[in-house]
Amino acid sequence: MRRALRSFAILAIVVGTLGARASSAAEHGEVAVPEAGARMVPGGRPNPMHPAFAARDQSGERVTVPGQAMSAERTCGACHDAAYIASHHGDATAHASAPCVSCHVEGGQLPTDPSAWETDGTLRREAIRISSPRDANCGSCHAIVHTGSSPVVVPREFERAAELGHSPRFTLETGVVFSAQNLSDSFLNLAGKAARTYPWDVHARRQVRCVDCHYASNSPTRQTQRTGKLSFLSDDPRRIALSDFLHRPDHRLASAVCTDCHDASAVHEFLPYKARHLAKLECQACHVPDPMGPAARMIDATAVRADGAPLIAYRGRAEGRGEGLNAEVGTGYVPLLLPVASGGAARLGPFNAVERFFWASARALEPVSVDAVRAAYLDGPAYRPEILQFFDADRDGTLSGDELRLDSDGKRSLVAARLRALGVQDPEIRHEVTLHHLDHGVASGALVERDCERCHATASRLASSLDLGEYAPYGTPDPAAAPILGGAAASSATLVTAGGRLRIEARGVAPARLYVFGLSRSAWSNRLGLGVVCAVAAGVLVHAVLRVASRRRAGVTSRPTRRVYVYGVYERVWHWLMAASILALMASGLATQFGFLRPAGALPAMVRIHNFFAVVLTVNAALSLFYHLASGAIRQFIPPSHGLAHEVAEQASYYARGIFLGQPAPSAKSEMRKLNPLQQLTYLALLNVLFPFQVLSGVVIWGASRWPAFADALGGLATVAPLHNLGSWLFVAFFVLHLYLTTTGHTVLAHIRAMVDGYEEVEATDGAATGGSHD
Amino acid sequence: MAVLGGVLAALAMYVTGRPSALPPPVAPAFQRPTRAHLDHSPYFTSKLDTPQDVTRACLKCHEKSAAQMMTTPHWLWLGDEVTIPGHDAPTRLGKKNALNNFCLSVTGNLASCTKCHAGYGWSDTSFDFAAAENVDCLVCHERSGQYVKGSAGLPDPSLDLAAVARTVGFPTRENCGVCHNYGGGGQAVKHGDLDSSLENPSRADDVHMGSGFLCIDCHETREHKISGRAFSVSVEDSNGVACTDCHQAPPHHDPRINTHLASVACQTCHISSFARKLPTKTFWDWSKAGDPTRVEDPHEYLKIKGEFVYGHELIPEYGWFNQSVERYLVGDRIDPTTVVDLNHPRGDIRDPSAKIWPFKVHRAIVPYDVERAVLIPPITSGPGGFWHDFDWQKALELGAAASGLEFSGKYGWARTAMYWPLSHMVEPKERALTCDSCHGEGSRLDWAALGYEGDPIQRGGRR
Repeated sequence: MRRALRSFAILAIVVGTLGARASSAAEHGEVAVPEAGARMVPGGRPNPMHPAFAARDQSGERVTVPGQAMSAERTCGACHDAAYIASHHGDATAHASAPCVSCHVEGGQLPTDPSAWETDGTLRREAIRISSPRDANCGSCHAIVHTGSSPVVVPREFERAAELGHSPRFTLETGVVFSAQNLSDSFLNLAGKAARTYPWDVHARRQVRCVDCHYASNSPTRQTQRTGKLSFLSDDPRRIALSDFLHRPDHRLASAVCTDCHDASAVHEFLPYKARHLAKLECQACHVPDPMGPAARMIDATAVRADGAPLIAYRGRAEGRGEGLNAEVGTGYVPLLLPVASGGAARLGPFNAVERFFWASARALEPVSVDAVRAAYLDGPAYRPEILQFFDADRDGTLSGDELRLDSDGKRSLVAARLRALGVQDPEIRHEVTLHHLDHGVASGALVERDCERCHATASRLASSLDLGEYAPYGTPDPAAAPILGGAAASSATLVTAGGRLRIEARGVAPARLYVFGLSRSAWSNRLGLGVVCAVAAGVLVHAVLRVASRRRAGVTSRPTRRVYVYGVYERVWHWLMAASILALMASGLATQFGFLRPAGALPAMVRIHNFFAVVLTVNAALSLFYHLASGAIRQFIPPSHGLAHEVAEQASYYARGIFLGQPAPSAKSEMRKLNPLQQLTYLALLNVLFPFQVLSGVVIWGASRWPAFADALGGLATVAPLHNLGSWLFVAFFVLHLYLTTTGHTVLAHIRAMVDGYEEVEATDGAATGGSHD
Repeated sequence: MAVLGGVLAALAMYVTGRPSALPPPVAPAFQRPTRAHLDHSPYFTSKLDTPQDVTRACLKCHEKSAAQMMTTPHWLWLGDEVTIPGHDAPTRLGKKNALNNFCLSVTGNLASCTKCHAGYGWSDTSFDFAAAENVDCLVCHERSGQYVKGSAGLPDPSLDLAAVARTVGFPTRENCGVCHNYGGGGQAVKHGDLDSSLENPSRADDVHMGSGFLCIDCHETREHKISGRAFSVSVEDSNGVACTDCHQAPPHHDPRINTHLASVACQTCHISSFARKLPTKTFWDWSKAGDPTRVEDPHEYLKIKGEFVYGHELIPEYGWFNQSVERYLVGDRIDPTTVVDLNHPRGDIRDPSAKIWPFKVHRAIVPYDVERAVLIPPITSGPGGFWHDFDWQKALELGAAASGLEFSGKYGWARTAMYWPLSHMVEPKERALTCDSCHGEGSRLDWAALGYEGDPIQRGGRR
């Protein structure tokens, strides 16, 4: 018996045969084959829990003739509270026309086959296929939601469904498709299709169904989202009874967010400044990289095609029109990244933008209904004679997309007259651009953009733009003045007209108070900093020219010198390590921020080099401070308490005059006094003000990922980063001056040589050495 | 200097970052084999009259080869002694004595079956298994492509054996394929995952062979003992070949996939369909044989063999398998009211060593003794055989005698099934099954039949 059962178990798995030939055994009737319908697929079989019920018409009478008008409210409402459900619909306009059966019955309608019904109007038990909505139910309105193994295809009615309603027809508006299938297995013509062996949506692939995220918000079977009223409660364990729920399900559907299920911080180990990225970017920004489905860039509903669909232009398609959405090669597009307000802090999320033209009555806010516009153009399946007569420029009896454009006053007036005749008061064409957030079409980690320079560069995704329509109907005022609809994101985008085309551009990340290294530029700090650098460089240049010229004229003769041991070993190591660190910091900083001399893909390395040398510099400075304090050499840096003004004047006068006349430096360098008074003042400022400022601002920037509150308290990176930037320019300016002054010694290289071997050639003046060097 | 060096070394470590933690997909255990091949043409200069002359010439240098070969199932058509479930005494099982539901039995039909024996002259029970010169070196080692074996495994007499012998080398896919692709009397009759499309395959046909692998790269061979098991003639998997011989755990980057490994064989996902290029036989009805009025077609009907069904691009059938099978032995009683499984896979959802495997299942209707409830392998070829006289009564009487069975004289038709676990025709990873192949709507698995409460993505896996 056990053996027999087991053999049946295996034999019963005559699964999904590819073609009839495979079910050989069935054809021959010799070997047991399971009956159809024995599968354990949810919804794929009668719902044994749902009670039998009778269909009722509007007046509540039992419908006994199959196909006779049946009221969903009366039928379902016999048990479920139809009034409650209707008043607890999240999107009443979208779902009001969808009766219960559209969403809850397999196939979207009750069976019309008379054999499914008892004679008294009761649906037979085995014909009850009622369940929570299946993906196919949702897909019947929300565009391409694909289940099953047949290839994904753009359905015939895809464009006709593009009415100017408010329901999220997410494929048309964003180009995303919800399907478990690999792109390579779809029916669509896609660029690089064979290599696209990844699914349209990774959630669909992993069997996350629509209702798993979009569930009735009072469903006791779902974890209720935290209300936030009591911070110490993460969940409320009390649930309403199932019977209460079934009686009064709240149809304001939940929209689970990524973090309801995912802990992004537990992964993304590869990502530098992970916390910062996760705080400032929506998951979708990276995980919806390039929608490959047909996404509209313009929907012109002022005219209708013969099939009743508006004129639609798509983005992410290879050139070549009129081949149909399945045959045209889809190339995908890169969505705009715009700030989405969420919980106070703006995060960047992906958007498509669609330009829309539609008829509206000047006296009403709502657009003219699609049916009215269709009636203005069409008489059944054909254009009205007067429309055809006026629009058909090439007299071929059909209207092409170009002919349908309302590009003349005549066409526009004719349609307006038709609409007036249909009862629309003062019809006018309205123009708007809508932003659509991308939430589906999610890609798994392996496919996600990981190239830092896609965002951290001048040509950044964060500063990208999208093409909109290439024409506007006659009489449209300045197209770039059209309103942009889309919440917080709308204020971060702007319309520009270029070459007769309207484009929408992200206005950069400044509106979101973000500072993105490699992209963001602080005009004032760069101008000020570069100005200082240029002024110093120009001054140095003039000084150098004058020095050379005067020396030649005066024929300066060298005076006798003597060798003095000025710099100890530690001082020299300390100095050169400092020099190397500052040079590395300047170079890596320039490379990070401006892409200056940066190899492709080297951004993370540049940031690491910068951080590394910042640490080297700081540690070196701290050790040196300890050395100078412990050894008392710190006195070298402290200006004399008496006669400073006089010494400064003397030294300044030397640089301004004496140096050209070949006079000796007012203070010769010695072991006792290595710095002249001007140097002492400069280093006092540099080491006590600029250096700590640069280190601290750098730490704040580096720590903005881990301790965002700290950076935010100081005004965020948008404030701190430009200051650090300015400090960097000041260091560059110091570097230029410092480098020049090393040449003012006994010979041009004397000071540099001294810093290498420790010995300085000092003018052999009589008396005690009281001066300093010049660098 | 030291300070600077230290700084630079630390910098290099920091900038290059930490190494990736991803597991290596292929174990270091796998090494691309280096195959030495000596040109043998100088050794065969004179004419060789008999195939045994060839073997004797080979053995002059390869002294131990025949002795090694003569201990293997390729020569004996018998495996090691094993205890077969449901049978008390240990048995040596092999091609020689195992019933199948294709041409049914070697016993009594030796001359035509031993066409695929790696030896010369096994036409009846008097064959001397100790005669080294009867070992057929050429069938595995020749590369002329001209070598053809006929009745009793003897080569076509018109062949220039010396010319064939000059081409010898290590066995290629064609050498193995000449028998293993054509078992059961034709292309892809037995195996659904072995056919001549694998002689020169693309990666889509088989990712290993399409990348240049030979059979012997996986079926490692030491002293002429070839690793690997066919469950049509074996009942257990010692000396078997496994994916994990080369592919180390965990093989996938995605931990979700790796959790499947406890219950799902690699082959289940990586062989999503079989017989992708050439059709394979899935059903054979011997009871229809002998009708002279029917039109003959090698894929539909032959008078000598009966009616067939071939399938193409087939989705496997799935079941638990712990790499051992039950076995119907000659003389076992059957229950004619149910399907008789000749080699049912062992294991079920409660067996931790069992995994869900893909199978080609070959179903056939074969003769049996109605009174004794025993399958009777008929004599087919030769005088008195069914193919000769088309008389089942006589063919079964002779067959029963040859197999040492008593025959009541009354025969009927029994339904049988044979299970062929699939391991070849592995697809590139992009074509492997995905979550939705088995989970959710449109699943290719019948979870209830496998013993699950329901789809484990919702109800959890086996516990």
